[in-house]
Amino acid sequence: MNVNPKPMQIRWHRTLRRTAARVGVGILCFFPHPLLQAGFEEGYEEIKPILQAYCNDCHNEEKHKGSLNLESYKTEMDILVDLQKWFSVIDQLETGVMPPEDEELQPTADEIVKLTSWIRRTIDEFDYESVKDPGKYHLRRLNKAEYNNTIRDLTGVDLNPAQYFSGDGGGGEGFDNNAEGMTMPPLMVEKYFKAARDISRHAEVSYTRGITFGSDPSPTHPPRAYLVQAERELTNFYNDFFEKLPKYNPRKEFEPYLMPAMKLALKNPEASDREIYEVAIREKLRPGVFYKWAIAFLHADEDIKTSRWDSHYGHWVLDPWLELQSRREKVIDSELQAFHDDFSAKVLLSAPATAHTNKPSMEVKTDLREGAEILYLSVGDMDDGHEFDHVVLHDPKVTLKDGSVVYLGDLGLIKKQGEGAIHRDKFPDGAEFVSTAAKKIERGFYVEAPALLSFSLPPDAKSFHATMGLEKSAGDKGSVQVYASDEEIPFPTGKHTHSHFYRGPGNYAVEEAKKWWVIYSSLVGYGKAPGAREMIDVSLSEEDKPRLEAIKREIEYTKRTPIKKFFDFVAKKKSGLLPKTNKEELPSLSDLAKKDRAAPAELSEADRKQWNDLRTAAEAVQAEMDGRVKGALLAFAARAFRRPLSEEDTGIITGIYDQSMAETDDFQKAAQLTLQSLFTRPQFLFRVEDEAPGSGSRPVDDYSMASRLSYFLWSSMPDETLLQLAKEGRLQDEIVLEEQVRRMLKDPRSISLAEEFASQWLGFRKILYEKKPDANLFPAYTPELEQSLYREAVMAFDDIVKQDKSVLEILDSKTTFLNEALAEHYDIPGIKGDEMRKVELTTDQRGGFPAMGSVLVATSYPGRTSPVIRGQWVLDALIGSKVPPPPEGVEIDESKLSDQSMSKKERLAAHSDNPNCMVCHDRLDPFGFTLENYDAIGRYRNEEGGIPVDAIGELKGGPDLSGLAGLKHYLMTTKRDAFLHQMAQKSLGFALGRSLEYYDESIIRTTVADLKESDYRYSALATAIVKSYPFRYRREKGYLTDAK
Amino acid sequence: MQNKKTWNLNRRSALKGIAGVSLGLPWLETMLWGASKADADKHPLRFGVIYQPNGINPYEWTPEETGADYQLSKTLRPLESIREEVLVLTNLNHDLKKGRDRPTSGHYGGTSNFLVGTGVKRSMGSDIQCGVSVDQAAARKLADQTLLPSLELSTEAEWTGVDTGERITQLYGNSISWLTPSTPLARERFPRLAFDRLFGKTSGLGDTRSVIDLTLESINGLKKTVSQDDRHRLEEYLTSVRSLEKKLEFSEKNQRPVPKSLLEGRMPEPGKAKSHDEHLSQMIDIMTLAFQTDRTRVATFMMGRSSSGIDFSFVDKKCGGLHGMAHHAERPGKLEGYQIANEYCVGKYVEFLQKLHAIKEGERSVLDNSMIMFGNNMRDGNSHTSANLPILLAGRAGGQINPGRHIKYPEDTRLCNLYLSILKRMGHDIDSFNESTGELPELG
Repeated sequence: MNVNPKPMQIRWHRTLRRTAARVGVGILCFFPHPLLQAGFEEGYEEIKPILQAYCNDCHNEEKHKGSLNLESYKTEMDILVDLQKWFSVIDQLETGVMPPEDEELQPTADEIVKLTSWIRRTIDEFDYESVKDPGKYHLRRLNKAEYNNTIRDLTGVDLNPAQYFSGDGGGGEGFDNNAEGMTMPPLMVEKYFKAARDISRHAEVSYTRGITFGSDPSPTHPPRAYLVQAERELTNFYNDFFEKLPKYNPRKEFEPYLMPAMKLALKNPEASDREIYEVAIREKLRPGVFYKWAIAFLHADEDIKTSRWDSHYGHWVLDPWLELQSRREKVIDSELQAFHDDFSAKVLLSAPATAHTNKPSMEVKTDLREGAEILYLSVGDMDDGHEFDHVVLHDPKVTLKDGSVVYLGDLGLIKKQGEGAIHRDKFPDGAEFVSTAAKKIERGFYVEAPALLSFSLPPDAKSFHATMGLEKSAGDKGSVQVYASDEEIPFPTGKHTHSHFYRGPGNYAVEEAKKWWVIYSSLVGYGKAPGAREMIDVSLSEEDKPRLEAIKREIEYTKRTPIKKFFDFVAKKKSGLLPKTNKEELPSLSDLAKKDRAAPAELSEADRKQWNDLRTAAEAVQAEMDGRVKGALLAFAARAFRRPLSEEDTGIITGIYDQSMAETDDFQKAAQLTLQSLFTRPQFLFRVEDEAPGSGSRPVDDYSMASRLSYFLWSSMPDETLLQLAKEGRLQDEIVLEEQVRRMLKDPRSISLAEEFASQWLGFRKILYEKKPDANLFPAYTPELEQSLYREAVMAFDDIVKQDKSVLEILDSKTTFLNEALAEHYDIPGIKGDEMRKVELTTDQRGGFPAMGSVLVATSYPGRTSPVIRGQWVLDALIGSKVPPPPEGVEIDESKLSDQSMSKKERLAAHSDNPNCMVCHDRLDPFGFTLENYDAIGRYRNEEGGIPVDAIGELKGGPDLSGLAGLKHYLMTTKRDAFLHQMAQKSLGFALGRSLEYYDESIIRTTVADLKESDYRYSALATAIVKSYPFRYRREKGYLTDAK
Repeated sequence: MQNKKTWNLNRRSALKGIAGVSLGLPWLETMLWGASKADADKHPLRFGVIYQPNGINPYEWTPEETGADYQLSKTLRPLESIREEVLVLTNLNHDLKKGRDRPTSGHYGGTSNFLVGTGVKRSMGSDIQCGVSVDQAAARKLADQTLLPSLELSTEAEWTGVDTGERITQLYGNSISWLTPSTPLARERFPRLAFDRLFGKTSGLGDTRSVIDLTLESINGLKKTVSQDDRHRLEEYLTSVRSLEKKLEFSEKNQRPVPKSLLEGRMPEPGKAKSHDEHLSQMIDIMTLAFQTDRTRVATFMMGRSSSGIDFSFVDKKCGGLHGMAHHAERPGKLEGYQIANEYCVGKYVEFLQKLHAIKEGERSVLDNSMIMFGNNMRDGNSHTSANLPILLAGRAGGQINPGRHIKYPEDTRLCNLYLSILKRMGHDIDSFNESTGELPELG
């Protein structure tokens, strides 16, 4: 297998370019060079005198300044194993940092070229392919982010269970997914166990839908509650539809439904739901409402037999219909119309208006026409008999045009119809009227229903008004309809739409009417959700149908009907076998021991048969129920373990479920416990790969490959697609891998590359934890701004990934992501609102990570900028050039560092007075100075403390870099290869989750080559790494490093 | 599927009752329920450490005089009310000359090495190594006596990754406690979680028992299949699961109840404390409770992690981030803030001491039956010097220490000598501890 298809040509290309660009002596004559063919030893011998002359004085066994002991490199392999250090040696030689200026003995330009070419060739020429070592794959646990993401993708809910976990150490290339430093201390384990418990409590189990997770914990219940829950779900299912329907008032909107419903009922007494639905659609009626009308008429004959209809009002409405129904073919249209009209009137009348039912009094009034002569006053019963229907009019009066009033008692009575008494002012025996109305009685007028009275009106009468109540001596049981008019009205019989109705609070008709109202409105629907499930059923979409089916099946399961039937039979035939259970509770098959389930011998043949049949059915349904949950648990476990379950695991998982079921008869509890046990198993917590015997290397198994892909690109578990490809054994196929990388990079989950990889590589994550600007000095640095700064960096990197842009946009870019606060911080006008958005930059003060606020804050002290830290960031993060730590016990002139009268540059020059410091600071500080235009919270500035900012970085040996532009130009040109190498190296370190070894250099080089050939697109980098040897291979169990 | 292995929940029941031997410590009853007579000898000894990162102002720490009649230095002034209970120990430090590959000082090496004394291996993470820390050595002997062998607290999130400048993993800056030379202990930084861990409702093992069993079984099964290299990781997991099991078993069998009144109003809110000051006080209170109720006898508290940048402006406007102030560059303005922060930290230590001092155990106090150390892995935070570390030791170790003095040892006296002395007083029969050269004289 060729994992490194074109190393040779790339290598040479790169070497030539770098040499030309850096040394500035043109393409040298070392190609072909005698040393090229020579072996390491020969070359080394030629180089050794140079090293000895200029270097070994400080870098020897005893002194090893800057942690470099040149005497320790005895073979080529010694150099290769310490590759990073030798890259740094090249860098320092070529930039003139080494040997130090004050050394009297300085190498010639030729000697430097000789030395650097030799080192480079030693590194370049080595045939890394010959090593073929994928490196050590350490068994690793999920880190915090991986744990959270895995749980999120596994459960579908972002529970953030790892928020209280400890950090993950770190090492290797500096990422917290580094396997080597990930320990497992007791506190961590306690947290894992707690998280396992907490997560599992969010699981909801269903026989039909399997295991789902909610953002809230799902309580466990006795079996009956699951049935209630399932039934509630059915209600909710329909309510979702009903709630979308407009409100419906059957008293006002019934008219259009009535005739089609009657016709349907007469024409097609066996109408199916579907047919009812079709009529509704044809008639442009709302199906749910129409259905209720249709059913009311279709089933009237049955309904009348039920007690709820068996009332005065029930008969009153339905009897005429039943008559029509009994001769349905012969009913003619005019009869239907008559019924329709009558029914309409009755509906109107019988619906109690709330105002009538319980108020102690009522207003009776009418305006009088110009020239009206007679006032008619009707007081009727409500077609319910007139016992107790005695009315008191409190202050009945006619108001004249001039505002004066004439009381009813003073008007001349023209005629009185009706048997009851009337009285003016008082009862004949002198007793006062007492009324249900609280109002004071003024010139009261007493009438017993039914009565029709007519009075002669005075001239210029304008209106009549009275307050009305029931005479209290008659109790509060009366119900009357009162009407006043200047037009002749009939004697009150039956009900009148024009009357004012009044019922005393104790009227028996109230209860009757209420009943009718309840029946009527429930029959034809009322209020928010007038619909019919049957109509929903026949109009369901293809997606909704199975959903409904599942709910219905769930109800069937939770009802446990076959078990109940079996138990009922057992109870009847041999009740002693069963423990007394709560009537409310559902039977549990486990209540009857297996040995007791066999039909007792003493039963008859027929009983025994029935017993056994029922038992078989009960056991079958129990097995089906358990099987469904266990199936779901096993499927979940396989996803949680990210590979198919072993037979042993299958046994363990079903075993714990069965055991818990036997103890609790609570399938949710049992399932939750089973899930809990998964989350602490090493198969979940660790990334376990298949081990194979042997002493060499072999491709990783497909499922491990799926995980390697997903944890690299998503920091999470593989999705269904990857697991399916693994199952099909296709993850060894390079074309499939390329496709998957492209797909995965487009997936939202690849944001982890920004949040986990870039934030650590480029250090901007530090602003969330470590780097906090001094709140007193920088009140502008708010938590919101901090978030925006962090999001800017994340979104900018994510944009490179998702849009597959050039990775060089890390160094320089024309776009970034801003919101109003951040734009203000950057002094960029025209951005409004809190949400972060992509912005095309017109300023040259921003663009690229070096000018990003997050990076600038992360590379500052709390109170001030630090050219040293920023310089180190440029060297270390972007160029990959190592700077040794400051030597211990260095004495520096502290007074200089704190002398405020000097510029920062002058103060830092204190380092340069000390050769021990100078060596590194000559390399670090110039890069840092180019960013001096940005203060400690990343704002642009032209001066600091009144002194103009000097943003010139004078590289030792040139060139001078002027500000951000100078830095970016230098990085994009001279250091472009170094940057690409660094990015490839960091990416590989993150992807492999281990420290890199010298032989990984070949992968880094291939990756850089691929990047260059693909316009530096991010996908080229990810693909090269995924296809690389160490990513796809693992050492066999008995790998012998010394065999190589 | 034949030969299917099923797992039996009841495997454990046979084991029940073995571990349930009551420890029957009368002192606890005395303490919690006020019996009249106490047997002082039976009171347990406790060992606590309050760690402050980033050094101290070297000019204001060490008192001029020695002995009992010394004048408190400026930084130590908060000790005034309790000076009779505290020893100021001068000239203690670790071996300073272990070399670059085995740092004993600085932010990383110094922090990890603070309670150890072996230095750390300069590692980018693949082969971290330190030694067993003094608190863990002390806890090892007490493991079966209390709910937790030891309690590790902190206030800040761990830093991850590597310090490329120092070429060392950030992991070394996270913890001062090392269970084994390759296992630094994670620390709890959420007061509520620390509280729950000690006093939360655990109805013993319950369902967790079956989960623990399964996990142990799984780890053991997996151990057989992985390579030799990976086995130690599973071993580590196994050990940690066992310690959880022990904890739950202990809480089920031997746990002594704590009167509700003692805990009332002392449970911290979930999530983050309102301020750093409150955070520190809550942790101090939790340690106090843990010692008082004998939930543990060893506790270490990092008031900040190595090179912590915690903003101290809540103490005084002159203060800023701790690490920033520590690099005072001899500037009076910065030193002033640094000094205020130093005094504040000593004040928090005093807060802890006073709480322990106020709790009676028979004739004595909990503080009398403790050794509570305060220390820092640097002297001057500016230049990272690590000779003559600022070390305080409070308590009487049940009468084995005579506090209330400033003792000045010869320069470059091993800090491990103090650790050896502490361990011996905790009942360890040992002659040396890491790089110790002998017991520290004059303590008692």
